[in-house]
Amino acid sequence: MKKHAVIVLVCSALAGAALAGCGSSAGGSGTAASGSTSASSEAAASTAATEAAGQTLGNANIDTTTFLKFADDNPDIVDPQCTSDYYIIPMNCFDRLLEVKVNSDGTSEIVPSLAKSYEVSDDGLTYTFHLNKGVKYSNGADLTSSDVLYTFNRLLTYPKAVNNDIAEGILGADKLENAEADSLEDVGGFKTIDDLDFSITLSQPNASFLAQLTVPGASILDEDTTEAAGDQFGIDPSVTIGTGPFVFSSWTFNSELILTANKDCWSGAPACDGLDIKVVPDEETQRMMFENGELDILDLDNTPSQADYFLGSDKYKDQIIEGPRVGIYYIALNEDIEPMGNVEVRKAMQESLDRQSILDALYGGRGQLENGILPHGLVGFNENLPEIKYDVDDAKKLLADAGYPDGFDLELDISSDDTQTSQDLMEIVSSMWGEIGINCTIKTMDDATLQDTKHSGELSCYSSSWSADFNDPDNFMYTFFGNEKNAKFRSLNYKNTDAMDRVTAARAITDPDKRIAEYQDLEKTIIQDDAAWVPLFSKEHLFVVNPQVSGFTVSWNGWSNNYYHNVSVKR
Amino acid sequence: MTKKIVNRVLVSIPVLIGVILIIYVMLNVIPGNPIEVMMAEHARQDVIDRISAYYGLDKPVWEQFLIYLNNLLHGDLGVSYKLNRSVNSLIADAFPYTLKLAIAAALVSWIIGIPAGILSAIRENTIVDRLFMGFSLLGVSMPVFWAALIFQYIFAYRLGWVPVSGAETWQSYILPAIVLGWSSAGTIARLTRSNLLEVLEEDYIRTAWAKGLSQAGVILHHAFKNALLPVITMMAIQVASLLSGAVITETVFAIPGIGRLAVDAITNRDMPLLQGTVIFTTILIIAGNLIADILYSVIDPRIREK
Amino acid sequence: MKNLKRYSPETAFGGKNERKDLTSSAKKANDPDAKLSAKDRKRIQLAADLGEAETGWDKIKILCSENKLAAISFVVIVVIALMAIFAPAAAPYDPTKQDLLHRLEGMSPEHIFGTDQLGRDVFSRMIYGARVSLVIGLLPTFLSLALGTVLGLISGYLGRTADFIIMRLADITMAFPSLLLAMVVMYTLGAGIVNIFLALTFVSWAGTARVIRSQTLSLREMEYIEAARSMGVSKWHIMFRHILPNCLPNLIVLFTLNIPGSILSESSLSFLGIGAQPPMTSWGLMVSDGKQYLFTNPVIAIAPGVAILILALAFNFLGDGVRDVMDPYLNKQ
Repeated sequence: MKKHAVIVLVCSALAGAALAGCGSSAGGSGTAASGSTSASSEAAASTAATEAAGQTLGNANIDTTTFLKFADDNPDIVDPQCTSDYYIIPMNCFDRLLEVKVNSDGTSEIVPSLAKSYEVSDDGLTYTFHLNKGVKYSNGADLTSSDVLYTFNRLLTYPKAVNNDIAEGILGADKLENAEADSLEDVGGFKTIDDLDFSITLSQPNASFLAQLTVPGASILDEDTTEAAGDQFGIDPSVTIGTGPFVFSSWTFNSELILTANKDCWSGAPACDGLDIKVVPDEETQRMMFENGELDILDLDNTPSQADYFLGSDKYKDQIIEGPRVGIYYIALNEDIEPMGNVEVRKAMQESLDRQSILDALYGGRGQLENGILPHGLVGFNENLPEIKYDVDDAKKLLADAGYPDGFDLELDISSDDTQTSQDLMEIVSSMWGEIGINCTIKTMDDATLQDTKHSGELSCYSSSWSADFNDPDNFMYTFFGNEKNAKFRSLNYKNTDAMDRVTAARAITDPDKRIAEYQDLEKTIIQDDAAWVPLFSKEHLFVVNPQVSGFTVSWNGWSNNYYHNVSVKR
Repeated sequence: MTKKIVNRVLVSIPVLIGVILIIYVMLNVIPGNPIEVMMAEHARQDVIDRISAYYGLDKPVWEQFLIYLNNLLHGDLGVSYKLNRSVNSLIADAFPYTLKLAIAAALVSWIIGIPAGILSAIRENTIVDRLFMGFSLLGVSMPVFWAALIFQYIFAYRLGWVPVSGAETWQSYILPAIVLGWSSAGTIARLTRSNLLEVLEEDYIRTAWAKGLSQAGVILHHAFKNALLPVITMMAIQVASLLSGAVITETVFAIPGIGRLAVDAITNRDMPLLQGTVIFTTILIIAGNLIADILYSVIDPRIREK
Repeated sequence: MKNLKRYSPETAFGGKNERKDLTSSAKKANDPDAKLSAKDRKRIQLAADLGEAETGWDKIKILCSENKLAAISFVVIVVIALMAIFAPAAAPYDPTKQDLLHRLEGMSPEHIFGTDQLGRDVFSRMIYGARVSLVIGLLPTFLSLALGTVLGLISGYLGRTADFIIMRLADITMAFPSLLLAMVVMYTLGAGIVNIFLALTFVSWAGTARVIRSQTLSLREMEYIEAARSMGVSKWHIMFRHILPNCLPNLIVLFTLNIPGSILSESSLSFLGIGAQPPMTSWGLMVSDGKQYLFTNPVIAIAPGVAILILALAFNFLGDGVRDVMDPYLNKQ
């Protein structure tokens, strides 16, 4: 194959994406943080951030007046390999070998980053990369091939790493995970050619491998600094060093994180002086702060209750910036729990939900109904998929045909940690299913029990969401319907083993068009014929942005964690 | 005297051990692996197992307890599963905020409570008495979270007098301190009132009255001083209880203190952190009670005589 | 109320007041000419009136005219309780009935406190929420009082090992910051209404146990108890038939005064998301749910908060009134 920057998918074979995914947190990092009761952190309201000396890791005396200010959660850790939902630091202080670029027409493609080019061998197993020359970390160290090797080794061996699935497709990865080897270089998965050139060999061809290299978890780390930092990497800003356009400068726990511009960044200095990320838990507080000028960007995904206000306000309606959120909301139906094992019952459950009303009520209609698995914005999205109609009469008929003319009793499960919006969702669902005689009882479980029950395949019926980690149908299809184990892990207990075998086999289809067609056909079988879940909708991602800010765009998959290289602010 | 103090300190030790034991048992009987809970949607069994082993959760419970106890003896509260930091450093970071809030709130409660108590004692059954006691009773009956929201809305958002939330400037503490202080002003007012009423019955006060001193003089010079002693000894207890009572206030006003840590720990099911914050606050309260007891017996001659 | 006559001078509302009240009462008792405040005179008069009252109804009438605030509070509580009991009749709408087209509406004749984010009638939800607040106010208070009383009696009467163990347990329980302890209990048991009962009971039994213990300690030295003992009456009989009735006035006061605390604790736990869980609702949960809409539709967060305030205030006033009436010193006169 030729040396080039390819479009997202060069489908060839098994994608190594396993269950874990990364930013999968239901509804993305956005809504998960928006619940009033489960908000995990504190706010810092006023601009002077210098008082809390002694409680700040890193430099406490940074003048942030000219910085771009926005709100987010307090992260657990910002080590790119150990976080599965806090990506601001990985995205802005680190770089990947490749990145995703969004085109003006909304499509996205994979473009070179730290790797200026690469070649793929004809058997699709070996990828040879060539690093850009002269790339330096913010501490002045040079980027070399050995850093890349270190990064993948660490992904597979660091005990707290959660994003190891990225590297699991590499030859010999299992030996590292089982502590039988220390380095991918010893097991044939990685070959250092020289300081700037290296090759990676996969155990099986994997079309989505390149796409996976763009995820935050694949950020390249500086071997010397990271190794010396030990478990302080990702905690202490002074040792959390990357090549990105911003330098992680200070972290006042539960209060704020400050990133300063990396003027000497290899890809050019960022357009603003720095980022001041406030930790603000409550939606109404974020709104107050935005209106008081204490925040420049307000993420309406984190503050859904305030969205109507901003969209309806003459003052703010022109300051809204929107993008897609590539993710799907669904209601899981457990086929092992009677009578959900009956396909007509499941179809009746699909048809009796007025999904548009739900979207209108909970998200002001800002989103699109989904009828399958692959949401709007994802490669492979099928706009010709027939719409699942809202038809109460037909649903009643289906129930009667299935032998339940009077309906049945059903347990709906929610977690006590759920956001208010997801609890509201289930209350609406319960009321709509009530219309066709399904007598729902909402059961609130604490999260421990809920996760336990879900993973053992015994959860009755719950709502959740999945947003794209990388732009490939495999990220959705395999996660839920790749095999019986995966279907059980999410309490779907889907029974069509033939379809699941095909999902797994689709990873090996080399022709991109054929592969997509296969996924689309499978999607129709699984959701429309077998009614394995109730697809709900995908959302739009809206931000309110201070007019002083320019250059703000929403990331391709609509994560709340954006890339701020080109965003500037004028004070 | 010294013997009494030493005795009192010794009595606190079994209480402390009991506290640790109870907390440990309560937090460890729950089923479910905390790591699995924390990873939620991202969970993958092998990753869960690996991280659990990293935190020693694969060991038997009794062994974990011994390790915890041993660390505790060395002043080490462990490492937060969720936040990847030592609980000690998290508490050390959060404590100054909570302490500031507690002291400010205590001040507010005295500013409201002591005058209310005095006025209602010397103007017993007048409209002033009713008003002041009513005001402090209102504080006791008010749901703190609700008052906090309303105050935040009116004074921070509508009027813009103080910051909405956070803890970066001293102004940020005004609203939380008022909300929290008001809620405990009633206790102070009642205590002041009952003490003052009692002191006013004492022989030496009646002697002073008999000598023809003015009412104000009597109250200021004699009664006030003696009546306030017990109130002041209450300080230690009160500050300690405000430290723990700050949970809600810190949540609403987004002050990164101990209370918030505890709430976060519960939301995240972060056992070591919850354990650490509860043990830490309990130690503070035990210490507060101890100091109050000792102060009381030092200051109040009647107790000393017994 | 005849037991009041044998009521001991020891009031023990815990803490430092205990000693003060003791000395004060003793002093007054030894010194009949002591200058009595106007309020004291009124109390004595009240006690005398009460003694003369023929029926219970008369007594209530006297009490009501004496303390109007307490009387009003009592009426408020009864009204709220009736609404809660007859919620299906009192509520204008089904509290779970959603109307997605009429979300977050303000106050109107149809919906006097507006509608919430799912278009449900807030007033109707408050009426149903009152059930939770009242039950939570009363039941854990009662349970903790019962538990505290039994343990206090055992501790005070039996003494020795039982006393030592119970009092150390009480020390430990009281050493915990109560809201945090309740949070830990909820963490262990999981969120939910029954668990709130247990958490609040667990948190608050110790105060009662201490009060009852100290009262038992002084009562067991009384002559009639000594007499009963010498006649071979069993210790359980003495505890529950002779000592317990004498503790009743204190228990009644403790009961009314502890209720607002329980109500506020429940609302705090629910506000934090670890108390009542949907689809059940409580006033604390309603404030928590409504706070996101504080700007768009303030009434849905304010109204349930006011309801909590009114109920807690009413119980506090009633508690104060009850305490005035039960004041042991006056009842001894």
